[in-house]
Amino acid sequence: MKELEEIIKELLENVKELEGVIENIKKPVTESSQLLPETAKNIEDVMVFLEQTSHAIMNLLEKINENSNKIGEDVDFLLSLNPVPKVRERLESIKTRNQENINILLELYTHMSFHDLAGQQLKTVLDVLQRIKQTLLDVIVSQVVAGKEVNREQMEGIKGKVSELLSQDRINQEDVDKLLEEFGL
Amino acid sequence: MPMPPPDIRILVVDDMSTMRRIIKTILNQLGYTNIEEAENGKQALAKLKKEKFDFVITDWNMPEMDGLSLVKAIRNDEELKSLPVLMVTAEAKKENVMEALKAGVNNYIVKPFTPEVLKEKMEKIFK
Repeated sequence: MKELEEIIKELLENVKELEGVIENIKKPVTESSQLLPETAKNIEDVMVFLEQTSHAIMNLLEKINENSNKIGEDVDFLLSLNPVPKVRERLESIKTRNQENINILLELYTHMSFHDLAGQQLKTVLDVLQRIKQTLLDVIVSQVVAGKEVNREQMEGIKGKVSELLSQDRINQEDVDKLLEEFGL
Repeated sequence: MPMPPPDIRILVVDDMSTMRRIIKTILNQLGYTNIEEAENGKQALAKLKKEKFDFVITDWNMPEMDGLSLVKAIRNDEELKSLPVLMVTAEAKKENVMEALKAGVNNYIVKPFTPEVLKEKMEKIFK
């Protein structure tokens, strides 16, 4: 009898220890599930900012290009008037440098594709965040459901609600508790 | 090598507005002004079925319908199957290029690219 008491005591101690471990995990997991949507929102903001700034820079580059083309036309007109050699020489020089500038502008313009390349990388990060968010929520739900009797119907219902929550911007412990409450857990 | 005539109608397909603008500007510099845009493969396919185009420049990674699916849809369509398609993408792995070629793209450009590269690829496609 005394032996059985010892075993039960040991078991209870183990359970208590396990409860502590779960409690310790719960806090950082919940905090992380709150931080993830915020991070995703920040990345989305960066993507919007990148796009707006890229267009603003391209507008300016186009304006410079337009001016350079106009300068080119004017120089061609002046050259067509058969200027004296010294003036012709200067005009030819302006024409060459102007064309160089137009080429540089086009090169700059093509470098703006950094926005597309950076955007694709950021989208990958967003996908990863989405996956982490899903895993974390699964962990939170399984933690709270652990040890409780959940039938098949309830589990299906919870899964449905979890998907619903995942489509929202913010997910926190409150959402999870509310959902569990709905299922009487 | 001769370039395609300047009056050809080109469809530029990319989900990034900046990229569409870059390609359009480069095409303008090369003398092509008859250009339409689409944001993804689905939108592009709808345009291709409704209007006549001579050339398609498409990205690979796009929402709703990606570039690879667009190429496959074009090659499986009796009316569109001979339409030249150039893929412009950040996907630079050998297997990506092989997959795109298998799907039926006429040529492949890795981003970022220069106007010279686009010109060279267009010359090759239309030779």
